[in-house]
Order: sequence, then C-alpha cells, then structure tokens
Amino acid sequence: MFNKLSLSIFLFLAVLLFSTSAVLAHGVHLDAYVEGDKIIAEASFSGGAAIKNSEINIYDEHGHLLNTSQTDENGIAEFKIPVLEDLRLVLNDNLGHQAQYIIERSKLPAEFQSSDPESKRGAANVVSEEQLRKIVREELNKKLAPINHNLVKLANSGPGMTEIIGGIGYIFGLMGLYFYFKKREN
Amino acid sequence: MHISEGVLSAPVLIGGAALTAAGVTVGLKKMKDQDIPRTALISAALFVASLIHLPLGPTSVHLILNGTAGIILGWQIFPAILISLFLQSILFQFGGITTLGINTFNIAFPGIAAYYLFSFAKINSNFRLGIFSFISGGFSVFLTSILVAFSLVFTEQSFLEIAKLSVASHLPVIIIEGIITVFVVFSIKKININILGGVKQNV
Repeated sequence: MFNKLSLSIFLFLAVLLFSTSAVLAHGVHLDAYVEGDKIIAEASFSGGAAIKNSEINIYDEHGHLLNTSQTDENGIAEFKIPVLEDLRLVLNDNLGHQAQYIIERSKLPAEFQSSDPESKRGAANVVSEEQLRKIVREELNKKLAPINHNLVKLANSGPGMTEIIGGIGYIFGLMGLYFYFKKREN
Repeated sequence: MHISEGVLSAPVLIGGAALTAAGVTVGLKKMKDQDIPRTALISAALFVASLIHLPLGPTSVHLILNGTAGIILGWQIFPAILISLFLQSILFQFGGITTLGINTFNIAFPGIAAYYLFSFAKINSNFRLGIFSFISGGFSVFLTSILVAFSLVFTEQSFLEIAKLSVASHLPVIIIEGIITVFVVFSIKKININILGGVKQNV
C-alpha cells in the first residue's frame, strides 16, 4: 500500500510541476460581435491563447457558404456583413477542432444597406436625424470595441480550479462506489 | 485529440464507439480488485494532463500521457481514458459526448501498443529500460496523431496532408512525453517494479 501511495504522490507532484506554467488547454472557442458594418470574430483556445491563421467560414441561415476569412496573429478575423439574417460562423482548424457562433438578425444593424455615406449627404448643413443616428452609432462602436473584446476574453477564461478538483473527485468517487458495491456482494 | 462535435460523419463516430466499447469490455474483464486504485489514479492524472498546454508548433497542443498510462495500466487504460474524457467533455467542454468513442479509441489504443511494446521488449539493463520507455512514450503520441488524421480523412481532403499537420503539431509532445515516460518508469522502478501492470520484472 505504501508503494502505491508513493507513486500517487509522485504522479501528482509531477502533474503539479507542469501545470504551474498556466492552466490552459484545448477546447476551441469562437466569439463574434458586430462593429459598424463589420463582424469581428475572435478565435481562441480555452484559456485564451489565440488561434492563428485558421479558417473561419460564414454561413447564412440556410447553410450556404457566404465568405471565408483567415484569423490574424491575434486570432481575429473580420467580415463585411453579407446579408441581414441569422449568420453562422464556423471555425475549423483541420485537426478536428471546431467551434461555431451564431449572430442573430437582431444583433445586426437595422439598415446597413442604406448606410452608404454619399447618398446620405443632405443638401443643407442641417444634420438630419438619420445622420445623427449614424454618427452616434459610429462613435458608440468605437467606444464599445474594447469592451466587446474584454467580454469575449472574460467569457473564455478556461476551466477553473473548481472543475479540475471536481473531476478528480468524481474519479475517486467512482472508485469508492465500486468498492462499496463489491463489499456488499461479499 | 479532442475532436469536436459535428466534425466527423456518423460511420466514423459509430465505428469509434464500437471499438471503444470492445476495448472497455476487455479492460473491465481483465480488471481485478487490486487494479482499481491504480486505474482511478491514472485516470485522474490523464484528466489533469490535458490541461497542461504547450504553446509550441503550429497549433496549441497538450500532454496526453497515454504511453505512460498504457505501460502502467495495460488494458485498463480503456476505462481510465473513457472516464477522464467523459469528465473533460462535461466539465471543460473539450471534445464532446458524440465523439467520446472515437476520441477514447484514438488515445487508448496507442497506450495498449506501448504496453505490448514494453512487455515484449527484452529489457535486461537500465539502458534498454530507458530507451524503451522513451520509445513507448513518444510512439504512442505519434500513433495518436496518426489515428486523429485517419479519423479526419473521411471529412477532410487528403490523408497525407492532415497526417503531416497532425504529426508536426504533436512533435514537441512526442519528445516531451518520451522524456516524462523515462522519468516515471525509473521512479516506479525505484519504488516497486510490480506497479507496472504485467510488464516483465527482470530488471
């Protein structure tokens, strides 16, 4: 029994030693938000490491492929909003990791097709209500971009201590359960 | 390793699940009462191992430790990996329930290969013990990356391309796990060689 105990202590120390670097890992996440007439997609491994040079496809609500983009060094890819309907973004790294994110129609700007700046210029210097809305929206987008970015990061902080300890607990719980039933059999 | 939900087609998923079911059955049949704590312990270690992340190579990869686990557990690696992957999928959202079968097989089968490689090798010196530990640890990760490429071949384009990418991204893990296996085997040898399930004890 003592030997098994020593082995267990060794293994856990070995694991602890290696996990000090950072508790990071291998789920993949895809998050996206709308900024002006663009969709910003952020791809990361759980724990926050960016997925570089990975392909992100964007599909319409009928599953037709609309556009494809590559993530940059920070795991960020940009799309022009292609159509005003529910859009599905899919990340696939070709090694079996896949994640998706759905942007609902309600999150897209109401009338981006008519947001061509030239056609909006009124004859007079008076700022129309429409133009004012547009300016406010642009400024808000600028201000909200870093907040959006941080929200994405927060939502994707990877598994915490609770999950890790909990999982180990489940495993030893199973072991106890097996022995319990074994003992009742005898 | 943690192939996500929705990537693979149904025949691959069902095939993987069937192979895993067979492996788990053999593992449980061969499992004696005194193997239980060892299996649970290794299962817990495997569960935590994939949180250890190596920012090397083209993608981010993590430790698997299936070679080490295979040498220690033998066929019990199947139930051990099944449990740790199941808990990872519900607690960490790695992989998924539908891909549990194929993922378990991709990791556990190379562990069995390492176990047999280790048992059948004539190990009569410390040098050979070290060499075979390194090869078993590294080879099982290599085999896992090949199996991952093979499971993806039905959905992706060319096997060679994926296999290259898969092996290349696991290259650091192959080397690191080889070294870890050497350390673990030598520590076990110092403590009690009988812990290595079924491996010949003539060192």
